[in-house]
Amino acid sequence: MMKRNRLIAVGGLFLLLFGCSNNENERNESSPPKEVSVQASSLLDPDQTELKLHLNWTGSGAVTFAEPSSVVMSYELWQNGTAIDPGGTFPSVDPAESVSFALRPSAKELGKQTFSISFPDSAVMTTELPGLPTEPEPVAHGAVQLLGIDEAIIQPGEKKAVWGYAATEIGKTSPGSEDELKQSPWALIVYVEAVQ
Amino acid sequence: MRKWRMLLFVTGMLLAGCSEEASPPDEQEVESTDEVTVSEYPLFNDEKNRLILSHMDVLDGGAVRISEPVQASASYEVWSNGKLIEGGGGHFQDGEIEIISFSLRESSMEIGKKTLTFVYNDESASSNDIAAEPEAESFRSSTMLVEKEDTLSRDERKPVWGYTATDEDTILIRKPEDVQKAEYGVLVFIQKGEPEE
Repeated sequence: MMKRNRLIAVGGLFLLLFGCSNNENERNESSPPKEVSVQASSLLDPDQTELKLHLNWTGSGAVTFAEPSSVVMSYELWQNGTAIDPGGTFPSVDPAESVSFALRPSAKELGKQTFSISFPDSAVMTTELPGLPTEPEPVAHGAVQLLGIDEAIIQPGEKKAVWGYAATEIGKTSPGSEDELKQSPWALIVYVEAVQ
Repeated sequence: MRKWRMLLFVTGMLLAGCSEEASPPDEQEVESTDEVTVSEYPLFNDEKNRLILSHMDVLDGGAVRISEPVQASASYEVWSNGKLIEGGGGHFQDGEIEIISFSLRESSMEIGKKTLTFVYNDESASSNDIAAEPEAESFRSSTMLVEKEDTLSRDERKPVWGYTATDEDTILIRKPEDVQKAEYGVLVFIQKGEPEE
């Protein structure tokens, strides 16, 4: 009985060592693609009221990663089921802990919206988007959180919709999913892709 | 004789006690009604706000803290080559104002104009769309005009911040007059109101 136990212990130890060294080897050969654990967050802390009143944001959001991750951010703009702006991609230079995004009325072209994506290392992407529809009146608009309360896992190479901003005709149900957003009169969808 | 000494001692104690109680309230009253100090307050240069600022069109901004809550107002003047071209603001905020912040950004209501926003610590805010800056100007700078602890007297309208746009990079803002002489200059003032009864 004793011998058997010892054998199991030695075997387990061997397995452990083997497992560890295997991991190390993988890490040494250029860091392997990792799944990304992402969670919904907010860009403004509740105590930042003084700064908040200087902002003219239409909407804003943020996501945090469980550990610094290499990701590619992208966005799409949809109108009634058609992608009208395939958007651009914006990769993180260094592994990022979080990423934030905000939509605000453009100061360059009246009626347009300026959309920005920002990593904590000061890298910012800014783009001008067609304005929110004002016809047919009345139109309601708001941000749509596409991540649940729990952490979501994004596999290497996978792209996940994390946040949206949509205009809906008043009286119609607000979109709650990526597919519903795409059918809206105006919808911006933000994606996070885990680097492959 | 001994009794007399005792009496003197007691009288002395009484006098000392009286004077101690009587004089400080006078001093405090003078301080709270006539003079407070104003100093720079870090809002836009706070590291934790950096991420938020990356999503703004803010050209510049600043904030001041008053040494104690008072009735206060913020106002502005737009200057061009020594001439006052526009002024506004100056509405007194009721209640307890300690922090006043201000930001200047490109207007999204009227392209080319600028939006000057005042925010008070009681969470009230006002925005003014102000005169556009001449297109050719490319050297922009701004500076706080208050020292570490400047006094702010009753009814004094104190310049606290200045912004200039010029076509030459030689203008350094050291005093309000530098802002007034620029091709385009914005001055922000704060003023302390009447103490509340």
